[in-house]
Amino acid sequence: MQTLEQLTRHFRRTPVFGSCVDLVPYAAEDAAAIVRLRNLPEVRYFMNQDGESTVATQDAWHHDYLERSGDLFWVVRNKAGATVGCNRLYNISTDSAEKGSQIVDPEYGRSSPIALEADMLAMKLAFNEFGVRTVIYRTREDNVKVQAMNARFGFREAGEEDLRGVRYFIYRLEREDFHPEAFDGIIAHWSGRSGRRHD
Amino acid sequence: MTDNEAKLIDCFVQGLGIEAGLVTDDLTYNSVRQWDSVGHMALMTEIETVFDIMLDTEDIIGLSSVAKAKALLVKYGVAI
Repeated sequence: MQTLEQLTRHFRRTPVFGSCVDLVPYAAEDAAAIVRLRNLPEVRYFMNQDGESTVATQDAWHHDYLERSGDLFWVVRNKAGATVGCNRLYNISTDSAEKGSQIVDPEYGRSSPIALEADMLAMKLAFNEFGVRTVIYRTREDNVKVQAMNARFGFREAGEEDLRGVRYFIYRLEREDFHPEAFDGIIAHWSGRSGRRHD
Repeated sequence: MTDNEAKLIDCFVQGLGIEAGLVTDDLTYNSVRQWDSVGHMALMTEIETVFDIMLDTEDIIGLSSVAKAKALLVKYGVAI
């Protein structure tokens, strides 16, 4: 059985492949793309981000990130290779992991199931590869879109907290309540659709 | 109501998991909890499968109400 450190190292080298999108381990050269996404007004609001992100702040974060175990940050790429968002699992322990920092480029978000598949891939990794029993996420109290999507995944409210003066809700999903197969039909349809479009 | 209109209503019922009575021309994206981004993907899956069409990206984004869905189906040659 691999340790948390070994699994972290492995998945920082190894992409997670999906049908419509892949989770590609974050690398220094992705900084500009992530900074662009993080500075979108809606993202800044919902991530309660005070200042402007820059490549320098992103590089500093990356430096610290590489020192930590149990933290995986991915660039989400579509099958054409375009960066369409990012996703993250962090605070991974033997019992639980948190998902968060998901951003989907609004240019792509309503034309394919990027958020859906990116989250499914991350949660499958947490439950199946890291063996956690619970996945947690926190979101701003008025982030109803994210709350609605995660309610579909089976997340249940588990508390609230104050983060830099803003109320956040905490949600938990237990392994027995995780049913990714419920979304297989949607993802398969969109995957096949992309294939037909490229014919 | 035409057969295709009934099929379209059923696409909304199956895709969004809502009651048929809610599917009126006034129903719009994000106006009910079930029509969120994931619901939208499920709805598009239903419409493309049932009517055997493939919507353009701009039409997927533009399909933001039942009324617009009907108009788009006409554009793709489906009699409503």
